[in-house]
Amino acid sequence: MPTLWQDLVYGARMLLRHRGLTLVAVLTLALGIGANTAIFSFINSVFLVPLPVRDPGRIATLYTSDFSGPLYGASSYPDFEDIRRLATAFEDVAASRGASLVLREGDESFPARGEAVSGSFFSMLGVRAALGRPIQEADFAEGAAPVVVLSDAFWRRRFGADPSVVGRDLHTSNGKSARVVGVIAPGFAGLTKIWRADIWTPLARDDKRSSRGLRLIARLKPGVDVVAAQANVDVIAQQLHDSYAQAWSNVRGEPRRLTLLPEKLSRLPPAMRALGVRLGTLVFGVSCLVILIACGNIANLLLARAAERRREIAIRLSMGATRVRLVRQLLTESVLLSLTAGAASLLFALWLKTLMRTHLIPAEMTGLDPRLDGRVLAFTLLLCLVTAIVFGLAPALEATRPQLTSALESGGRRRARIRAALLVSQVALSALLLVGSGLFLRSLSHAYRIDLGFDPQGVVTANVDLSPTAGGEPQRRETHRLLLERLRTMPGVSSVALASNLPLAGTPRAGVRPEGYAPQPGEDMEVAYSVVTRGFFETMHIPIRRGRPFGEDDERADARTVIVNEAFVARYWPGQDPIGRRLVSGADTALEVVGVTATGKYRGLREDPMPYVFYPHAQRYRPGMMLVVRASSDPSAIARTLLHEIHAAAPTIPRPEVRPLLLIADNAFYEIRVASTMLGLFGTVALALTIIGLYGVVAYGVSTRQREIGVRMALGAERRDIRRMIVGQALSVVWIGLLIGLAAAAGTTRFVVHLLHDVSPLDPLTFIAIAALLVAASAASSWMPALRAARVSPSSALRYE
Amino acid sequence: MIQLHNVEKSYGSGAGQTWVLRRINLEIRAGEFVSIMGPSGAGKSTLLHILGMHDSAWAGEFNFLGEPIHKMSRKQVLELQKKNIGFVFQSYHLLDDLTVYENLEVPLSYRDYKKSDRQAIVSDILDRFQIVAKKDLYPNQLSGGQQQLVGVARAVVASPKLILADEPTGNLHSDQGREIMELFKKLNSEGTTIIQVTHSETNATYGHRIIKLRDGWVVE
Repeated sequence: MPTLWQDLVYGARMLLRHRGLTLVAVLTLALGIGANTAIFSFINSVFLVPLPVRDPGRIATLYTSDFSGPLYGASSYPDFEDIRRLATAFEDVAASRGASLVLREGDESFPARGEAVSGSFFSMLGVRAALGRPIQEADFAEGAAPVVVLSDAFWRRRFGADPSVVGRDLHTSNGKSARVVGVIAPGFAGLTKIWRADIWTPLARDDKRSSRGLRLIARLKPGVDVVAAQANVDVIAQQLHDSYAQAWSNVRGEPRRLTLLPEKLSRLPPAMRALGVRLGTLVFGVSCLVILIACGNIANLLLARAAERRREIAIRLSMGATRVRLVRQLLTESVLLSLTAGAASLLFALWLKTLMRTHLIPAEMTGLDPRLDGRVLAFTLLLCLVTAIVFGLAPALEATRPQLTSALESGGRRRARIRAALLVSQVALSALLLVGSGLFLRSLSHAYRIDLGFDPQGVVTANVDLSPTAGGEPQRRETHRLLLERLRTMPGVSSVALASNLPLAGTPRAGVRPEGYAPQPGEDMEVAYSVVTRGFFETMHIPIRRGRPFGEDDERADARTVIVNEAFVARYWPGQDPIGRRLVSGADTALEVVGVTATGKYRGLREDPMPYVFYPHAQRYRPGMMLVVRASSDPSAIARTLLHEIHAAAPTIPRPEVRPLLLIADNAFYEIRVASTMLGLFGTVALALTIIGLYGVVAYGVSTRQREIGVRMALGAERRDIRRMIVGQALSVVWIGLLIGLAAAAGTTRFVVHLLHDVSPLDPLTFIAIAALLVAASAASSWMPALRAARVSPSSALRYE
Repeated sequence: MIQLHNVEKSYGSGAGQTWVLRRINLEIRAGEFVSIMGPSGAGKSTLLHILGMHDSAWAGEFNFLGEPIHKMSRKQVLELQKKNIGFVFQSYHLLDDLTVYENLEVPLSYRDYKKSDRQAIVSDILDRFQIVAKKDLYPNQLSGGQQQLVGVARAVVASPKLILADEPTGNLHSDQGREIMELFKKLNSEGTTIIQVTHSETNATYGHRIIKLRDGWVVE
């Protein structure tokens, strides 16, 4: 222990004495460690931190498979009751569903993201109220007064943490009210890591077995694992199919399934989790490569210092120090260096985390707020120790080689070889990373060139949901109509419409029966749709290929018209004229096709041409619609007037957010954009680190080769010969690293092929461009030391013989 | 071959000038073997580097083979040097990472000889200096005498008219030193002009005459 203390004190003195080296090393490492810490904080927050509930290891989410096949679907209220009654593997089963509200205080309306929950939801999760009480079974009794429970964050944000809010009535904007009975303890904000619930209300009973919108959550009995519980729900699924064959069959007539996922796998919706895992693995892997490159730089710096410390080490060895003792001393210095960098890296990590939160995470994902908690700090500490060993061990072993004192020259050559090997590794890692960046950037550029089937440029959107307004459907129809009428005459507005769903922003599906088409047994006849008003196609610049867009005639409630896209025609009426043909949707009477639009992208960029149906709003009225406005000039200039008009038409709805359609369409590019941004960022850092490393190695090489350069000049070398030699030798190392890196890239990029868009993982242009970039950057970075080398005076270099 | 007229060299140091060479006037004819002697700090090596055209920061007139070095551009001087001068160093200064063969090839590569010509010339030199067996060895695998032998071979490989040797036997024991001096004598007898810097009176006797320097002045 005393010797360790000695090593620490001596190590600290060495770091202070060599301030320049310490500063460069700390900054380089802080960059690498900080990036890793920031990314780990996201991984930790999403994948590692359990929900703040009692014994989360026994919590599991239960999914009912969807009609069209996917496993992770929602459940119905009757199913919830049956499962709760039949299951033997669970202590309890609870249910929740999204139930956002618009609350009203005085003249002000404000939205609250809410969940409607079953009576045992909080007690089963073991979540307590900090004030008052949570929702409980008694709130579901006949005649019980409506109640609401607030989240801690919402209570603080909206009510200034006023305890007297408990017992007060909250009013919704459609005139109803509910009494606040409690504030939930801090930390708990719902069942996913993505969205934070502001309020909870009692879940209303819905006896329709086909109405599936519930998320079921269960607590396993002690001693029952997920496998055993899955076996139990398999039996229940079979029983439900036996009892309710139609509701419990999918599109192919197979029984629906129940799937149980443990809490740790259901913190994100399953599709989002898969995306998170893909992106998380990619970005974390890339940040690890960056830190390895940074380690290469530090190792090179320390190797240079090891050469300068030959005398000190020789003296220590001659005084009887063992090699292990000296290695330990040098590693202690590395650890101190790394810990200093680790401390500095936290600032960088905080900055990067905020940057990523702001620019890479969609704003609506309010629940995703990574923190530098104990686990993240432990990770940073571990990373510091690991990096200290990675960059410190080779220089420490090299510096303490016993034969150093007797074979300085061969020691110098060996160090040069180690430095070259480190450089080769750095270049290889950089090449790998840059090829990845290049592929993703090319993917992104290809993605942005995809024809979406509409033009988001110059269009703004706003959510105009009239559900919270007083009055019935006729009043709401009139409000929507008046709003559109006023906006159409507004200066700066080119066209305007309403749509229930915008492309690339979530698309519901409904069953259709096209006239004359005989479905195959088990064929999925659900087709994606949107309900739109007149002007939608003009506003969105969706081309009408045949027939006509919706007009004033289609705004009559008795009109029975519909517009389909070309993919619909190709699938159900191939080679036939669709205009005038009919289709039946749901219980409607037959609808006549009056137009055919071009096929666009509706769910994602990678989708195959997808049949799509547009219904007129007048025939399928719904109060919650998105307003789309095409501006004739600058779209941001009309936002204020737009808000004014919406408020004038519907003063009781919360002030909506006016968002460019580009921003919504951008969601489709989310995965590729995040991957490109992160790889581009890390690729740039890797390139910079490699260039700095190469510069350091070449500059150090030049400084130790003055005599050799002098000799060469004395033997007739001209300055250009020396420059060519220095740059050529640097490039020979770069070429080796480059070839290894490109080979590694060729072998590994296929693992990200599912993230690439329209670019081969072996895209020759990217590989060639990255090779050229690295060679050019390397030549540039070795040029300065080469210039210095060429200025060596042979008479000075050879003077001291 | 060489005429120096009032050649001077000094360094600016603090308040004034530090003179290294003062008003050097001398003539060396082709075929001569000249020894430059003097105590440490007399300016011997500096004079040798000026003669070898490694140093251009001096004043005065320097004619080499009838060409006025003091009026020529750096590039012209370098061409003249590459064509006519070979260098032998006290510490051999072989390039550590190159074999004997490659060390001998270096001066030729800087003179743009073709590869086939380089091979022929180096083979001939290896043969002449009887070091064929050593051609694939690295400098640290040779004795000091063998290294200096290679050093001399490297100096003559490009067939210079003048060899400048800075204490060529300074790091060798007497037998090895004698062999090197005999080699210089033989090269001189074959027509190569040799100028050596030496502290050794014995080595100086191999030459035709001695130029003595003290405090930057030619004293004899």
